[in-house]
Amino acid sequence: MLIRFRSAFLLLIVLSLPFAFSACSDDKEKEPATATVQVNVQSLVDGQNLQRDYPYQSPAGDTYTVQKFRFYLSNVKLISEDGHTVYTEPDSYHLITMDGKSGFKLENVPAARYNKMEFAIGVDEARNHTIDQFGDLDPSNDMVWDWNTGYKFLLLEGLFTGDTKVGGLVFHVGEDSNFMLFNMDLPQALDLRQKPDGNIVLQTELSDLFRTPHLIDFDELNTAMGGENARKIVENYENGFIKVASGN
Amino acid sequence: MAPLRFFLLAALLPLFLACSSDKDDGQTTPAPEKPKPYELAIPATLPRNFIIPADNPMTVEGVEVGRNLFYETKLSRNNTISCGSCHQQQLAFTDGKAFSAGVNGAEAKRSSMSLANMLWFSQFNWDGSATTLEQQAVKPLEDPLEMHQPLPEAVAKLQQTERYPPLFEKAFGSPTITKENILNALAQFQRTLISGNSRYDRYLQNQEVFTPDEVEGMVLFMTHPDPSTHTRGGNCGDCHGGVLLTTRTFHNNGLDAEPQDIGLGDITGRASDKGRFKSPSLRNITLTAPYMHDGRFKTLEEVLDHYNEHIRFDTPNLDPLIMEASNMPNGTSLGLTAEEKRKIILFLHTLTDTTFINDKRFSNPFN
Repeated sequence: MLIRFRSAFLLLIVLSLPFAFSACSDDKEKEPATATVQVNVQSLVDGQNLQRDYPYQSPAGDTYTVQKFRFYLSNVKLISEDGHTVYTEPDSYHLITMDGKSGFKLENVPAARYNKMEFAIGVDEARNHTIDQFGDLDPSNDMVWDWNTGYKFLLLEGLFTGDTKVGGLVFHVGEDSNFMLFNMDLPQALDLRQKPDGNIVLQTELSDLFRTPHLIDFDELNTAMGGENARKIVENYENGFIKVASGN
Repeated sequence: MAPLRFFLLAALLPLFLACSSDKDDGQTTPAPEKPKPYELAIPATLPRNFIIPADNPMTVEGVEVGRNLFYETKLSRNNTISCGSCHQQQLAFTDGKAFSAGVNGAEAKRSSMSLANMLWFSQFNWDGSATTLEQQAVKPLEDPLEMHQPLPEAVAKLQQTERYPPLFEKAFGSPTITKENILNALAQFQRTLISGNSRYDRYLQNQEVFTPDEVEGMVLFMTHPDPSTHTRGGNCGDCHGGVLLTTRTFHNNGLDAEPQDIGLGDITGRASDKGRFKSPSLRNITLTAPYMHDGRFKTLEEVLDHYNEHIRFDTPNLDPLIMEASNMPNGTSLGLTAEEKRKIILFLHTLTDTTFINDKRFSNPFN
């Protein structure tokens, strides 16, 4: 109820605005130029779209399938070429999942020429330990451990057949120390001075989660719940796991 | 159609509002009374993410019709049972049986599920076969093993009563009863069945103190064991975590080597879904025995014993979260101690919400 009526009122107000301004007055405000940027995240394995239950080969040579893959992409920023304009997305927490949300819109991005993007994998300390949160941080979303440890930042579950063992893959990466910021160059500058929308494509490459510097052999390491094992996965983030594929 | 109509109305209104001279002649004739919006009160500990279908907004009058229908035996073929027969408030809207009793002594295929907090779900039944509450009710109403009455017959029966046409008129604007409005009203009532005042909820809000054993049970409940970091865990939260006490996901929890009832697998047709069932919310779990989709476990102790000692590793699609859960390095079972199991059960007892089971708004109006 709440939702419907609140949105009904909102709709009314929003729909009334053009009339309020255009019908009864002629003082058209010149709005500051802003743009909308659609960010899409593609989940890949060896360059192909990640598919549930499909048998993949890990860098260490084990066969594995994925049942669930999800992670928090947060604290998104765009930085202009001259460094003067920094766009910071408000309330920037996005739960990217292989069978659900794979993109989001950055609204009211100031018109500028951007060539850098900043984001994080995980939930920052300030928001990692409270339960009263909405949207993608809503604690009913299957990414909470308990109220002391906070959120799982990245979750991968599946099955594997190794050289000596057959079993499950359970990688739950969390903990404040594993929150990781990325600062990346856009492949080409995103010029929003002349056009109202832009697109950015991010890609995750699952194989690279298991490759460098820590080659993950599932016979030896097939679960991580924080601690040393989770740290290895986090240290692998920086070698190709996530990248900006395009921006235009 | 409703959303479209609503949208047009909303779009047209400003035309009149924006430039009108704000005069009111005070002479308006009273319009037929509109149903009042039903204000859901969401407890502080429950999520704010939920969706009310745009074509079935909740109204006070709609919920009232739904409550009447929920306890209405005329919805069954021989007028003997209602939804409330298998979903009894005192048992958190379950019935205490392994398999529910349908009309004429029939037995349902699976155990009756609690209806607490359905507002937050988008997949219903043990196998996720329904995706809206409106759609969900059709099965138990019509299934020969349950209430066994085609909806058109229910419509005809209710239409002949003195009670229902005026109730439907107040709620839906017409005394002519339709099957859609029966389903809408039942869904509206079920969305009001919110349970969020257990001791656990009060504990989360610092209004209640847990004993050290309860705290330990809670931590064990929420934790996936990791011998590499010396973290002991009961591994329950992987499927029953979060404030809803369920991740609302589907799992094969190793009950049988060859499950006869394959649950989600029947719905999706996917081999990898064979033997998966919804992990139900554990809110009010002390009231909802017997446990599992077929009610095979009578007590919580039996349930804990299953997860700790009797997982069938030869079942197809055993969940990786269960396969890879041991408190011992390279362990092949969960490996909780008897004391740890006892503490987890103590925590489970804090999830009982007596306000919920005694709330008059949810009770049988015919009593």
